[in-house]
Amino acid sequence: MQKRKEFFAIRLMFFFFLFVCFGLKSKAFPQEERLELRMKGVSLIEVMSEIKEKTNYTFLYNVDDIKKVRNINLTGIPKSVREILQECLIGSGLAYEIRDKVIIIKPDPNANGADSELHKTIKKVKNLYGYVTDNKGTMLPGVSVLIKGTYFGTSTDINGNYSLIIANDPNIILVFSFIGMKTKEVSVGELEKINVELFPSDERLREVLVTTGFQKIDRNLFTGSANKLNQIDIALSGISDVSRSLQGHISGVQVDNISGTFGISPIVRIRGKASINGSNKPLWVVDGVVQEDIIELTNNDLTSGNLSTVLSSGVVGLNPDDIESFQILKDASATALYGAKAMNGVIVITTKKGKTGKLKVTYSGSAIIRQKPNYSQFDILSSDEEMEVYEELYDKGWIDIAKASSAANHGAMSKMFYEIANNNVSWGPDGGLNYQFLSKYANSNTDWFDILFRNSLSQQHSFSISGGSDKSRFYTSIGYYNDEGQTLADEVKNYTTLVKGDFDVSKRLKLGFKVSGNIRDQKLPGSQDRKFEPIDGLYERNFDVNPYNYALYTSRSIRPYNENGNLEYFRRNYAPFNILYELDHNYVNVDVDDILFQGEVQFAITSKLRFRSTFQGRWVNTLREQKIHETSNHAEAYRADAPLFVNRNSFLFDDPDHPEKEPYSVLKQGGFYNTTKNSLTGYFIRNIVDWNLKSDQDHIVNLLFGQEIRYTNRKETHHEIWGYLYDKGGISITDPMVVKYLKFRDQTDYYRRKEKYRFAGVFLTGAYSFKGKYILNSTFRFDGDNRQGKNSDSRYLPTWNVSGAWNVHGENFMKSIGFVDRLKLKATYGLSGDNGIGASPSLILKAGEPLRPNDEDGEGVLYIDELANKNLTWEKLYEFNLGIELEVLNGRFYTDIEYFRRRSKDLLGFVTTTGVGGIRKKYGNVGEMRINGIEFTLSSQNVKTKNFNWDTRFTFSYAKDKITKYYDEPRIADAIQSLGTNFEGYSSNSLFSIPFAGLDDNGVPQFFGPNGKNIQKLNLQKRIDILKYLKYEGPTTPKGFGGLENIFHYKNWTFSIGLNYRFGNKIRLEDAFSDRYDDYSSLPGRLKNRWKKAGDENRTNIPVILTRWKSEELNDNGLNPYQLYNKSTARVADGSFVRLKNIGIVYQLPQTWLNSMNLSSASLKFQAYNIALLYSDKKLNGVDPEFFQSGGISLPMSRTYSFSVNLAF
Amino acid sequence: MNRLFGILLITVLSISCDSYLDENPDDRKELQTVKDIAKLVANSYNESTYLFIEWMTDNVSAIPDNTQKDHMTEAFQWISMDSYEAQESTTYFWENTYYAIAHCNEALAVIDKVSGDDDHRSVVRAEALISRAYNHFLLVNVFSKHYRGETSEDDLGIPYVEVVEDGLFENYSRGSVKQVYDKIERDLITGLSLLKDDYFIGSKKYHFTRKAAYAFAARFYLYKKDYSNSLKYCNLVLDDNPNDYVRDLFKIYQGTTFDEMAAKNSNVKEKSNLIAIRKESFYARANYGYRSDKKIFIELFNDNIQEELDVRDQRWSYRTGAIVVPKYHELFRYTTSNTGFPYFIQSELKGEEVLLNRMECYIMQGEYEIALHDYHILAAKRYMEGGKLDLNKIKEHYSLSDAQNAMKLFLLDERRKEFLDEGLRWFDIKRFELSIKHKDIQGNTFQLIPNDIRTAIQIPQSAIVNGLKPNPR
Repeated sequence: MQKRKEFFAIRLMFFFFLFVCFGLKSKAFPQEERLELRMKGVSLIEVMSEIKEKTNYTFLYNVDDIKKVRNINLTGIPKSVREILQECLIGSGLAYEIRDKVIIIKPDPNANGADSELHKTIKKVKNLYGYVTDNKGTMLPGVSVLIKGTYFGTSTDINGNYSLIIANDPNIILVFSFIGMKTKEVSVGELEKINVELFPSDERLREVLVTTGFQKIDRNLFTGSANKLNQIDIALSGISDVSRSLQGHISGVQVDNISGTFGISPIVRIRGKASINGSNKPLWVVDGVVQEDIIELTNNDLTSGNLSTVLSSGVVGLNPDDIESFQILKDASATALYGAKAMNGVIVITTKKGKTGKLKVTYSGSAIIRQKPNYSQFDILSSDEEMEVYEELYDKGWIDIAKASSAANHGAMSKMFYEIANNNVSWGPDGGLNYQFLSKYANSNTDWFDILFRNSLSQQHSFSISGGSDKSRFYTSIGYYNDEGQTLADEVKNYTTLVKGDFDVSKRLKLGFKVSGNIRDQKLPGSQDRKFEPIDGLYERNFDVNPYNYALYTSRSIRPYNENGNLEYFRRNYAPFNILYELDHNYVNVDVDDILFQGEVQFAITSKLRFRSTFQGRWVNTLREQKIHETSNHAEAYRADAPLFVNRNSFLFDDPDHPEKEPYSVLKQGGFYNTTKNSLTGYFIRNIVDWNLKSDQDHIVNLLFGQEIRYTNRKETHHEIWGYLYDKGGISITDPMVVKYLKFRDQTDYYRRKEKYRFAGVFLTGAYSFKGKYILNSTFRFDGDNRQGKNSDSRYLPTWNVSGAWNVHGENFMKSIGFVDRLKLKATYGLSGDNGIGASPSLILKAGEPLRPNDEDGEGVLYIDELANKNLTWEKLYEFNLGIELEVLNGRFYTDIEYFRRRSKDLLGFVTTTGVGGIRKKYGNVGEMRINGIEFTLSSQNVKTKNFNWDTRFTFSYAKDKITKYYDEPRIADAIQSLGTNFEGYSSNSLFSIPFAGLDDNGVPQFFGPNGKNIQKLNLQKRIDILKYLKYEGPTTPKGFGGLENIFHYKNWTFSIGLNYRFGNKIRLEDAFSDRYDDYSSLPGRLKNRWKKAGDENRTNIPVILTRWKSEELNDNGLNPYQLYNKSTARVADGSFVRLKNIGIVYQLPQTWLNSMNLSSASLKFQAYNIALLYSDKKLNGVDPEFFQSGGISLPMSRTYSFSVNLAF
Repeated sequence: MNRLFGILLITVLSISCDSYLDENPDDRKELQTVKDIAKLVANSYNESTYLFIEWMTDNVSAIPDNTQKDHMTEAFQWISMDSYEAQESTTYFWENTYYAIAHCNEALAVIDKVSGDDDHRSVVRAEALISRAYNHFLLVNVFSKHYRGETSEDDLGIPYVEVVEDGLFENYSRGSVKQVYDKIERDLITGLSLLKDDYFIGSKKYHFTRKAAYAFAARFYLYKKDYSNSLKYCNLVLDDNPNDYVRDLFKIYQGTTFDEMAAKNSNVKEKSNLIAIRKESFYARANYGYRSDKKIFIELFNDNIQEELDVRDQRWSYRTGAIVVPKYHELFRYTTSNTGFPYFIQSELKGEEVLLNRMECYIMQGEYEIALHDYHILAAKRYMEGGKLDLNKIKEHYSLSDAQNAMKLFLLDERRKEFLDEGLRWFDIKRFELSIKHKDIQGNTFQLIPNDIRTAIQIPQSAIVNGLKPNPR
């Protein structure tokens, strides 16, 4: 039943498309014979004889009537006979009549005062022709020549010539435009031949056209807030994810590189967070169509380090070399046409197009070297210092021979005890520690970074061919990226391809096609998804072998190799473990196949009315295979059942049917083979009608009406094979108890999830301009989304927007101030929205099987996952934007200042209710937020001489947000966590701390309580009056950020240097200190400075290492001072930083060399990226404040050097 | 033509869009058949336990070596349990009970709209009604004062929810205890008229079978002091073989390990276990909280009217001094590979309770000999020598000449022993308006007076914050 409905919808959509597209076409062109006549300056007689030759028509005419009709130009566009005759006879005072196959030419009885007019031989049409050159006299092919105010025009041919038949109206203005050149307007007047010279424009500072993805708008007539970046200016060679290169270039756009792993999307925010809990992700639009993510993840998910995050970047499949430009749409007016999804801004990517002219072949290749991290960046104890702590742990009862035997993990000291217990090693003298054994490890001082990382080489190559004639243009490219991996465990190969063609079928009809593909082959360390562990409120990740995490968190007294050079194993999860062996035997392969087809049709119905349609299909398949070899620690842990720990190893099965039995293994042999497949199928179609209502000197009125439909299906299937034998050729022997084992853990070895997303929208936008000085713009859009439920109140969201601009520089009084090129004021007010992920208006039921010890009572049940929320609605953003643009001295200085006030309403979040309805914590529209901010961009050409140029671009953004309404009251536990909490009256995600009051006289931390008394105990569940206990630290997202770039050109050399910075946020330091330590984890360097004896509390803030008995006593008394210490004011750092992001040198090979090598251009480039943190809080001890340490597959951004070559033939 | 086209376009758009957007966004389940509804009702059994009320009874002492969390102390001192919202808290119990009720309400809302067998339909409706009544019955007895004829019209009840919540915030009012009892009775009676056991699978014990529903009705009317009705339902449970509904503790407590005995005690195959409900709870861990200790056991079992060995005197001890009988077999539900939640299967309605309820009805009706007859059925499986007693001995033991009062005291003691660690003692304290004392570790004493306002446990903080009337203090 459901199935049929879906099909019906698709069919309907298809018919609608057909109707719109071809229905109109058939109306305009009756089916008739068509001729292509290309004639210049000929007489009507010549035309008639041509027609006679090519058709069956014969002509009847009076020779006297027609001999005056001369100088006819036909362009060769296919036309019917009627059209040709009409064109020839316009203004001649003659008319035609077709009877069967005979055409009669006679004087037009309707022609007013035909005789007198006729003899004046005034033509109603004329042929314009000419050529276009640049300022050096080179002919320019492919220049667009348009009649101003219409969709009619032509473009220059391969030799730079054009011809155009136009009505004989002296008021007609021709617009000549070409990428990289200043657009020129020429009044036709009485001229017939117009040759035009175009001058190069300096697009580096300002753009001529704004590309919104829906339309291209003249910068002067644009009222919104948008910035353009050309890929060539910001390209970071070797950084395959283009989104990363946006960092620091545009005010208001914040890019946080949370991980360096290929495929993980950085967190991109435009104008901060418009939503409290929503995705806050901007829309990525590639060539006019929204690029859907393969897997939808919230920003919170992005930082999880889970395997799925490598599929999170929607744009990683784009070859950076294929990108022409980025347009960032920031305010409600700019994003208005995207309607209810555009609350978080839009990034429009335009890929390269072929150009008319001779074939252009380019190659670019880069070699990228990434440097290993090293311990000097971190504050970690060396192995001999560790050993000292271990001795104290031994003295204090944390490690001993009994514990070592039953411990899950071993370090050097536990290993010694274990060996002693097995009589492999003897006790030291006097029955104490065996220092001889321990000294091997104390001296090892393992450099895990050195062992697990490499100075990796990656390479990127792309090759493109483009070209075109005056009627067709194409661009093709292939790209290859190979990263051998910065750790021993990762590796990526990425292939991209792009084919684009544009065809001017006729004066009216233009077609475009695009096919792009991406294939990825990636290897990653074995990784399990983290799970929320509700008892302590922490995330837990088992079998984490992330090399970065391992290096950072593993004791340096553990050795990878023993003294004989063989791998040395230490116990982990009750089984032998060696990281090098494990990385080899527990890894993940990721495959991505992504193919996209896009088509475009443009049809000018009349000169004032144009129809456009864009349609796209995209198919993505991904496969993640985790191969866990039978000899890996991950598999061995499932069968570690020695009597000393059989009751402790939680990977064993404690069979509820047999309470008398010891827990046993359900994986007696083999490892695991786990596969997860994700697929995305997306279709999209958008139809637009542009109507140029009026266009003259004073008034321009444009209307755009359109509709779009999106259809996206996502699917995820997961399958685990237990007992897979890799060494036996891949057979699997699954223990029958696995099913029961999984059932009692609420797990399954198989799942399948489907997500269907249906979206439809209609929109209307109108623009009015008076004398090009006063511009008024308004957009209305109406969107519907199936995820917002079946209730039409919540399903649809109308959005709207009104904006205006005043081009002050066009006013007469500005004429006297000659140095001002542009002074523009603009203002916007409007509503946009977002459909938050995960909110549902309808009751959600899920299937489950309750745990019942006896099998016969097993039955499936349905449980309520979410109650209905009939009032659920989209998140809404009301935005007011004021902007001023100033450009002086021929574009040498350009500044853009924007002020915005945003009011977000109906923000989604969790709220605690009475619980009487059945669910106490519910998700719904619970908040409102206010953001005020300012953005500032300054570009200047400081020095501009013949040989030397110096350009600077500085961006600055500052915004402050405040939650004005929030129904939920957070607990203390929420407020102190590293992501902060949401609290009415504070910024979203504000961080709070427990006020630290120093150590007590036993070296145990204490805190300021609410009544002036010091406390060592705090109930973290408290909801009421929590501010009495906490100190407000600040927001966890930065208030301000930006970048500074300087570019120097000297002759053929270009040198660039870029900084970026942010400030105004706080970071919760990692939980480094504890009431207990062990001998297998690395220890914080600061522990050296810990409290050791009475009186130390005056000297240090690092708490004492407790004895085991004391720790138990604290626990029994319900005291949690160490837990509180890690969340206290002592463990907060400032998140501000200044980073030297990139330095680049480009050398352009001189023309003389190029000629000898048959090259049209060539350049060499050296670039260093992520060079150094110039400033960051000392408390961070060198840890990158941008990197979010979450384990799994996330890796830090490393320092990168690249060398690249760009050649064009 | 153009206009026509425009109108057509808009119509096509608006019609097709709306149905186009009707597609469900994911694999969510839809209720289409009676069988689906049955699955929903199968999940209307409350997974949280009310056993925190045991910490409020006189069955527990403050044990210095036990780990006492704040919320346990709050329960022990009869103050609002605010410091904890997870297992064994009032909040968790409140939320989960209403969660179970929401399943019943969703089922009842659509049961007439789905396809399926009509006989099955009426059985599912019956199960949903009885489950809804039972869950509200637990709530009203925990969070309100005990039902007491005339004053119950004024005592605050709890919201009796009969519709599914479909807005983010809904307003609820508590009504009176009497109103709640009336609605419970209505649902229970309607449910009983339709209920059949035929559609339940396996042991059927994870559902309200007719027997379980009768046992609930027996308790309901007993708590309402409607003895003739209670008696009627007791008899319906026990048939003519009350002996079958008393477990043989001598057999159950044969064994070596605590877990083994506890597993036998809660086994669904045991006929006296009338219903089995999975409870997510740490309660079985007796080293936590306020528990019975040696002193309590001496009070319960040493001064014994029968003067013979009571098999219920099972003193399994934790090293902390807490003493516990093997009743709950703790199992574990993993949520991550290392952590998760313990749970056990609890029989909330048992044959022994029905038998003792019947005995209470007889006592209240003055039929002491018949009452004693019931008692002996139980005693035979509890006392080494069969525990034979007569009325005079009981009067003598309690030094009371009034037979009914003596029998009441005798009954209460027997109930206390039989239902130790099951929470029922708290309801008895409320019903019989007993006064009890607690002494904390520091030696401070707290007293609960007869019919104390604190016997209506304070409702959760989040409910008060969102507008429900708190119990008076």
